[in-house]
Amino acid sequence: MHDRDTGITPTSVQMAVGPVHYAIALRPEDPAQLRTAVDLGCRWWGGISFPWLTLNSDGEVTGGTEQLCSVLDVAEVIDLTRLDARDPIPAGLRALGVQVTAGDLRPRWAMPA
Amino acid sequence: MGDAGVVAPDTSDPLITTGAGEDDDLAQAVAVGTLDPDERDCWAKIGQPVSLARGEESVLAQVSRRTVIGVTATGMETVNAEGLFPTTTALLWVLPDSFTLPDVTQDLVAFWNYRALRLWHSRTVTVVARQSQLREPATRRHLVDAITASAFSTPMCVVNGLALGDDDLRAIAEELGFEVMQPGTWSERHSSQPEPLQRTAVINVPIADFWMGERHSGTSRDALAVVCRPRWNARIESPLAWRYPEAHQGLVSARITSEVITGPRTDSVAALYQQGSRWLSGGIRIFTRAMPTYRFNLGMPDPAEVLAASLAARGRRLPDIGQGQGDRRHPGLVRRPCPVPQARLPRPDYGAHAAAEPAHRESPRPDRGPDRPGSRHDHGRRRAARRHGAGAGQAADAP
Repeated sequence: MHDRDTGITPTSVQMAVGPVHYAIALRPEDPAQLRTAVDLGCRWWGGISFPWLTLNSDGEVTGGTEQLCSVLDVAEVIDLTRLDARDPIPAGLRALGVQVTAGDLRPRWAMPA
Repeated sequence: MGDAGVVAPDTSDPLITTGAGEDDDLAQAVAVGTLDPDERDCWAKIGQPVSLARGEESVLAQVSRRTVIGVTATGMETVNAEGLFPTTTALLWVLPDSFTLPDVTQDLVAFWNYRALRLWHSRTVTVVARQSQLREPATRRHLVDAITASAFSTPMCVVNGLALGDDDLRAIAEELGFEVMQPGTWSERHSSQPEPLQRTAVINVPIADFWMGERHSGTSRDALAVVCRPRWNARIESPLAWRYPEAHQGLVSARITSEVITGPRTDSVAALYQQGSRWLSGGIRIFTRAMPTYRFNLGMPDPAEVLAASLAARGRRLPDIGQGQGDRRHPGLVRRPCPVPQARLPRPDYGAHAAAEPAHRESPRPDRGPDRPGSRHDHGRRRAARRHGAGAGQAADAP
C-alpha cells in the first residue's frame, strides 16, 4: 500500500492511557507520614502503584527503593518529609532526577468512569 | 476524593475500607485503604455502599479487589511488560497478631512496594494479613482457591513476613495446604494444561527482583493512520471513558506504539516523533490530559535524523557531509532514506510490502542495537540478571 511517490504509508497505531505515577517519599518511623501516604494512594487513580521511597535521617533513599521510580515510570515525587516547600530537598531525592514537590502540592489527576 | 471515588459506584458490591484516624489500625489501612467519615458519606450519596473492614473481611476484600486501595487499579490492565517473571505467583504477607508499629514498619513498607510492582492483568493474589485472620476456615478456603485459580507458577505462593520467624511462616503455609519448597528453580506456565499444579510455597523469598521490569499499565485502543514525512496525524478515541468534571484537565500517561515508531531508545530519538516523550516498553510515552479523543501530530524522521539524534545523545555527531553525498563519501553510514524507518515485527501484510523491502534492507537498522530492550542480547542479559539477582540464591527458569 506504500506509495513510493508520496511516501504515504498506512499503519496501525496503538495508544494506551494509564495513570501518572507519583512516588511518595517518607520517613517510615513516622506514623503520620505513613498514614498520609496511604491516604494519597487511595485518592488517586493508580494509587495502588505509587511506590514509597523511604528516607533516613540524612535524606538518603534506603532499601533500594529508588529503583522503583524508573521501573514504575514515576513522574514526580511527593515528599512528605518536608513541612515547607522552601526547605531543601533531601539529597537522595535530588539525585533521582525527577521533580520533587512538598507534601500538599497535588497535581491534577484523571479518573476513569 | 471530592464528590466521587476513583471508580463508578456499584450499588450491589460494597467497598471495604478502614478509618483514616490516628487511632485506626495502620496495618489494616495499608491492606484495604482509608476513607474518612465525610468521604464515606460522599460515597453513600452516589450510591456506593462502604463497609469498614472487620476481622477476616479484610483478607477476602483484598482477594476480590473491592478495597478502597484496590479499586484505584481500575483501567490499569498491564499493556506491556518486559522481563517480568513469575507474574502469577501469589504473595501472602503475614504479620503477627500483636505488635507495635515499629515492629512491622518494614513489613508495611515492603508489602506496599511489592504490591505496587505487581502487574494488573490477571486476578493474582496479593494479600497482607495477620496470623489470626488466616485461621478462619472460610477465609482460608477462599484464599487458597483464589491462589490456585490464578497462580500458574511453581512455587505457587510466596509467604513473607519480616516480623515473623521462618518456622511461623512455614507453619502458616502448611496450614493453608501448601507444600513448602526450598527456594530453587522457578517455573511458570504460560498455557493451559490439563493437570493441576501442585500447591507449593516458599517462605521469606525476596521476589521483587523478578518484577523489576519496565511496564506500562492502562487501557489500549488501536487505530489506523496514514504515515508520511515529515509529519503525520493520528486520531484515536480515548481507550477509557473519563468521569467529568473530576477528570477535567487531569493528567494521564499515554503510550503510543506503531511499527513506524522505532529507533534507539534515547530521549532525543523519541523527541523526533513527539516532543517531550520518552521511550517506554517499546513505544513513546507522554503525559497529557484526559480527553475523549486524542489527536497527535507525530514526526516521521528519516534514518539519518534518527542516527544523528542517537549520536547526539551520546555526545557525538555525524561527520559533516552534504545533502546527497552520504552514499558516496560514507556508504556504510548514511544510506538513501527508506520510505519509513525499519518496521518492527510483525509487519502488516500489505500488497506492496515486497516492493518496499529493498529500501528497508538498506536502512541503518537503528533498532537493532545490542542493548535494545527485547533484543536477543537483551533477553540473554535479563536471563543472566535473573539468575544473579534472584535474591535468595534461587535460579530463575522461565519455560
